[in-house]
Amino acid sequence: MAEWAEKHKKILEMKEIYKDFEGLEVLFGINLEIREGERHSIIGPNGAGKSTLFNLITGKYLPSRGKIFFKSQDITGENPFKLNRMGMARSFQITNIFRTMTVFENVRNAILSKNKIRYNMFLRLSKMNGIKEETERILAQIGLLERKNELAGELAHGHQRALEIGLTIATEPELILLDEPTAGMSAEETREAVKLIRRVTEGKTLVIVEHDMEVVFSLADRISVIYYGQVLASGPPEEIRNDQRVKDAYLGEEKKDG
Amino acid sequence: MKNRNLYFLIGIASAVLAILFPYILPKFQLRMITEIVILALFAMTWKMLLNEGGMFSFGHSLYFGLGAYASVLGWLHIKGLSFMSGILLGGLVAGLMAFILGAFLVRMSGTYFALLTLAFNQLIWAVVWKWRDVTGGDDGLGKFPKPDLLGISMKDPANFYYLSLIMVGVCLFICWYYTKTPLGNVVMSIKSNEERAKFIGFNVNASKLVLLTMLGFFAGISGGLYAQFQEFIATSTIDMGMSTNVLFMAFIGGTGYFWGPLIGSGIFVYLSEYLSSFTDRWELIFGLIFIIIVSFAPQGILGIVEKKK
Amino acid sequence: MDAIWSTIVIQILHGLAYGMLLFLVASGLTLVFGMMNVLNIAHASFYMLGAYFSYQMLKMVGNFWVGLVVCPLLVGLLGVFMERFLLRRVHAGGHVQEFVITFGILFVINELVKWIWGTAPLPVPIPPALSGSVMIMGNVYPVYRLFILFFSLGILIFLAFILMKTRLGITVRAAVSDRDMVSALGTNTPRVFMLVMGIGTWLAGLAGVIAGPFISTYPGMALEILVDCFIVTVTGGLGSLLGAVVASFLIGQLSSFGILFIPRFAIVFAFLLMAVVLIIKPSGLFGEKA
Repeated sequence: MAEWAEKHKKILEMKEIYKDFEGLEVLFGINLEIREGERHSIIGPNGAGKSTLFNLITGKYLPSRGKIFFKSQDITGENPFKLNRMGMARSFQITNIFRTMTVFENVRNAILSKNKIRYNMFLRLSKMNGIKEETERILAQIGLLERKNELAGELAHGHQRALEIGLTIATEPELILLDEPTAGMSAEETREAVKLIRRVTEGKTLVIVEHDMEVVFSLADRISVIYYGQVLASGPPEEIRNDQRVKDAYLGEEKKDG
Repeated sequence: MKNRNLYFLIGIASAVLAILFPYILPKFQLRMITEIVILALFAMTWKMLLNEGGMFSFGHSLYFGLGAYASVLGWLHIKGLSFMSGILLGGLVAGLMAFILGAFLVRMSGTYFALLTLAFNQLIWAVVWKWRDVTGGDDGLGKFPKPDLLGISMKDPANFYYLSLIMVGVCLFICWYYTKTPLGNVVMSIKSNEERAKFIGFNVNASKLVLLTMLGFFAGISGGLYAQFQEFIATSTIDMGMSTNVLFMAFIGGTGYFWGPLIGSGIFVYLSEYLSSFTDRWELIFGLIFIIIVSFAPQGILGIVEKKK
Repeated sequence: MDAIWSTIVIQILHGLAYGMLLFLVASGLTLVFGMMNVLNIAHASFYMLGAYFSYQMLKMVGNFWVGLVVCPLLVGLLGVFMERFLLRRVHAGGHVQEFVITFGILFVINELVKWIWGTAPLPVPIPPALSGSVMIMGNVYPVYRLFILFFSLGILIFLAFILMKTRLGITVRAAVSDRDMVSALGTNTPRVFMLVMGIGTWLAGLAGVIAGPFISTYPGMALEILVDCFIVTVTGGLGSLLGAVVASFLIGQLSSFGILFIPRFAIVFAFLLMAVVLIIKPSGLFGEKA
């Protein structure tokens, strides 16, 4: 385990992160290390602070205390768009797509951003064939190619979630953060989603917040358990599965709910 | 397909009419058409700010008025300033103001943005009003040169009309083209979902600022043209009334449609002309019409037309 | 030395008087916004209507105090009408439509006022009981201005009481913090909306009645108070009454002292304050993040 850790660089590091919202303390001293190339799952009961963690990493919130490092650079409080340009991307727990645009246009937005085409006022979008090809490649990957001209806001839930993931990976980030990607999905959809996630995160680093334990154990190389604002345990699935504290605090609750 | 042919026909007919106007219309009517064309550009900038940029401006006359004043002051004080340079000067000053203010404003949310535009509009209006030495205060500025353009006299209403038509046409074309470019797309995606746009790597504030600056520039151009059209400018070009007018024009035409501003401008100019010959209270009637349209036909005239199809 | 002190005190009093007037107007605006998420641009014209109604009432009845009671109520009623018949209709259309319609209403009311009363300023005499002046630190100070100060303060306390102690007030405060929760709890939201709008416009009307003898009535008064009012609400933070209090106080003082230094452009100070606040905290002093 130690040699593995030695070999793989830390791509993301959170040091002594505290976060409170107007007096309501949510995170108390989070220390987290994400290794390059790993699939790391973050689990924990609702309200434990998992989404807050994502929001801190991706620049939506500023930590009350502590620092965050991405590829060894201090990114604490950096702007979301800059972080994306540095190679990080996230999906949202509540679908956050461009509802008034078509599926194609949705993904194309990300492709344009990736290619740094942001202020161009001279070329006609419709003539940019390279962009069109890249967009369609991503659409094929997420299985939405046939629906490319449908309005994103009118897609079925499962397809919207797929688009959500598509938007996240289209900018070709090195670090992918997925926030409960299978929320609200049927068992069948979940299986498809896991296949998709595995496919699109090949060779990248993935941090995934999830409630569905099957998804967690089938995807994760390592798991961190967040329990009421602190890291309760962190390690490979087997270790976590057998960790008594975790069992008491979390998996036990899960088992109760069936 | 029938629709496309219809549009094509309307387009050709309008273009032909537009070219023939100086020959078939009496001078007075031609002047009104000219005014409609110039104000249509101003209205287009407001409409695009809202519809394409998602920004609602309560103080848009700021750019129009600055353009007018800058051009006029240029013609008055810069010896030999050409016609076109004066107009462009107006555009540049307005664009610069849009850039400076915008850098501060674009990061504000919709409501704050709207209020602040009103506040700054009023501030600059107050400055213009009180700085009599330079701007003439509410006496305004007149008697400024009307230079020839490439040897063609701009004092001839027909020539001035064609010039306005061409300039406004070019600006409108650029506005249209903009919506087909990547930048236009970025701003539209920001309007669709600002947060997501940020998280996929777009600098939302910078993108909005580019649009705002461009539109400010065009508004300034229309201000400069308007100054030459009126051959006189006063604080009415930069006051709340003008900011209100442009709002009316954009909404009555329909803020969701490319030609909305032109329709709105046309209705505004004709209504204000004919209503004011009936009654002093034409502005009141105008306001009432406006409220009725916003309540019952929020998509404007073109919205009604579309529904009828 | 004494002279300087007394000038300062006088200016502070001026600033307080104007600040309190501003607060009366701004509080209605921010209350409505906080509760209903509607920025009622026409709010300023209700202020103006208060002043004009009071002028008219004075002409007809000859008693300022009757006007003080009746006119704001009339204005409040108009506000309720506006909410019920115009705003509610466009609520579904979204913020832009609401903006635009309140803007249209402002315009129409402006024009109506010009039509009915003309464009010339109409002087409103100070009621005899409040005329004259007192000596403050060796300076003459108009009683009426003191009245504006203390009366507005009284209204502020009254407002605070309502918000803190009454059922309506608690509902309003809750609604300002969490609108959905309140309607889920079964409060009759449409009725509360109308009531809040009524109170908001009542405040504006009241401010107008008081302002009449102070600055006379003229069609431009709506626009003038509009800008200052917006500066106050934006600086204080939309939806925050505390912000409105603090900001009106600050703006009042800045206007008062600003006039001493740059008589022609005193408003610049208010702008600078607003700009500085917004740069540091884009949602205003006490506003919530957008």
